[in-house]
Amino acid sequence: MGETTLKELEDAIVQMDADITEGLAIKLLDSGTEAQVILKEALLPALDRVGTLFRDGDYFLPDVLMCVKAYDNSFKIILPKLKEGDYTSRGRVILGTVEGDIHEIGKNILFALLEGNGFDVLDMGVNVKADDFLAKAKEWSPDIIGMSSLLSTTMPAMKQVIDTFTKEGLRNNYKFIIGGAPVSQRFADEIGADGYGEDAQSGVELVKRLLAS
Amino acid sequence: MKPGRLEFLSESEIKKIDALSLDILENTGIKVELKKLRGILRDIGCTVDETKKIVKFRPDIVQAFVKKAPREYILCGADPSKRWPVNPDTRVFGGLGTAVNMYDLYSGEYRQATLQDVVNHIILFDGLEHIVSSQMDIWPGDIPMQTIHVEAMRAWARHSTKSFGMGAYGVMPTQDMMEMTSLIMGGRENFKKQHPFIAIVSIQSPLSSVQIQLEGLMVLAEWGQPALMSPEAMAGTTAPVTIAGLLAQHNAEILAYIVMAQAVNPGTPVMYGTVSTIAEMRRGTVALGAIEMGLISAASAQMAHYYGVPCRAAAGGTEAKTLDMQCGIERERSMMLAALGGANYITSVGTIESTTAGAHELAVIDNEIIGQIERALRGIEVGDITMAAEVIKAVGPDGNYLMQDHTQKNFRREHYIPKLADRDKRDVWERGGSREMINNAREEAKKIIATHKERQLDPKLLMEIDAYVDSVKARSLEDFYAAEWES
Repeated sequence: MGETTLKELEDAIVQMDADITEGLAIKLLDSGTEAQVILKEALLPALDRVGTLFRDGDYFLPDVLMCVKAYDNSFKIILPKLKEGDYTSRGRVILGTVEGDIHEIGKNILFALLEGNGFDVLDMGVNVKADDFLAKAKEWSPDIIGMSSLLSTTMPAMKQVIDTFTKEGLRNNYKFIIGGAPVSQRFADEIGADGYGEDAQSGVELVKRLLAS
Repeated sequence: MKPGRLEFLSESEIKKIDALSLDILENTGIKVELKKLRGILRDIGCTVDETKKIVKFRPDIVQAFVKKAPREYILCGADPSKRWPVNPDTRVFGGLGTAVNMYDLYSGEYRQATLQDVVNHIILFDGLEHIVSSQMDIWPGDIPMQTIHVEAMRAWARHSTKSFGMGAYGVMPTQDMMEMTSLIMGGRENFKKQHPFIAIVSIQSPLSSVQIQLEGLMVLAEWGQPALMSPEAMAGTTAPVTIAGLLAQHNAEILAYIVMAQAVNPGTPVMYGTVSTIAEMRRGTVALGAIEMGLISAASAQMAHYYGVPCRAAAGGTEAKTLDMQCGIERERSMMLAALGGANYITSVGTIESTTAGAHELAVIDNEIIGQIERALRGIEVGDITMAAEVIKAVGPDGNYLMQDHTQKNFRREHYIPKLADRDKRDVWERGGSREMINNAREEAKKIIATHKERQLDPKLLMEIDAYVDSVKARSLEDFYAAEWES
């Protein structure tokens, strides 16, 4: 019974069936399956399969995001139980669109994909000032700070954020990553960022790489 | 939703062209290079000049016999569960030929076409979702001329679930094709009830005929198989230089051929075909990549539909010698114009160099072009779901639609998703090896050929097919041509 339902939950996530994943997670907990087991044997394998489908070109962003929604609906059920145990997230990431810019689609996609990969993510929204990044970092202690900008005119604001942290002597407490249409690896190097992602999927890979190092 | 349909002729212009064609048929006539057929035409009331072989058609005869052609029939595959209705409102795409040279898919070398190319071509078409029919598009140079058609049909039986076809050239080859199709489709009666095979009947413009094509036409009509009446008139050499003049002349030719098919066997499925285009005025050669070819195809579709028959148009032709920009531009635009004009069977896939050379990767590219054209022609669906009223309100200012169910449920249908065209950002593209579309097409072609599985045919049928091919191999080239009827 427990075995079947773990597979059912895994399949429901892969098949984007967001309406039933919450119920399946509750059912599994009620039948005595441990939250850790649900995470390791249903949720994470599901995300792996979704990742493969995406990489192979069978799934597109709307599909992945729907899978993430299905994942979230079950994850929020098991999270309180996980926290009772020795659960630690894979890492903490703050995201925000820099000051002067209100574009956020790319950032939102990255947010969803990071969540779907088991990271704790905090979204600061758009038009985020350098000082606000600093204050939130002090309060929330992320591993990584991600900044996006879609306008070439707001690219300098990314450098300002890093400079602000440098002035406070906190630059090396965090990894800074950047993304957005006009941004490139060369620009990342110029402003002293730790990494750059061309798109949301590369952003996820980048976060994984930085946290592994 | 308004159908995406392009019209170059007004109703009154269609009638003017029709009137001139009827005038040509009545007063100038068509040269019919086959005695047997002239006899049949005399029997239905045409005036025949036996010494000049000229047949003149009264307008009432033309009108009465064109009406006998069916508006619709079902094309099927070697696997008869694959079916495509053909009528003035539907559209299928097929191959175009004949390529005698090929760019080698693996080495890139330009060389003579081989039987293996024929086999790979048929395999490829079976795997490309937007392509319905192979037209014996490749003409191999490594096997005897008199065996090409039966070798191609054997490859079709073994490797394709889709439709097949080729030129109707002469009594013996056309009968071979009918007999072999009959074998493959499970017997003569079974075959006559369906249409897996379509044949192109070429018309000799201006206003004439080639004996072997007429022989082929008669054999096809007797077997009740679709005949595609296809002039390749060239404005400036074999037709008036003006497009309206070309249309009137080739319309007369096509109508005469439709009458012939109906006179032999009333109800024979036909298509109003066109391979007509302009001539290259510096050399008098054909210009299949010309923009005017698209105009002629679209206008021909209008004429075909005026008579209530489906239209075959050749498209995708190019005079380019390599897989370059000219090749891409010319193929896409004539396919688009033919499709927008309402042509129902568009033979377009996989060739360059005025269809005398080909490349397998081009077929894969054409498949993607067709997918995009099909998407364009599907048009814009306006309804409760597609208007997205609730979603627009729910997302509101500054939101985004990416995470909406509506997006996930509808994007595959609303957007054409290319497999070959690159849409990545530069860094991603560079990391992937800076590949051009043609590289992706090459890889896809290799993959389809490598993973193809031969059809599981009854061993007895395979032996019968092999025996038929062997009997044809035993013929001499003289035998092959000796079978013709009196001209």
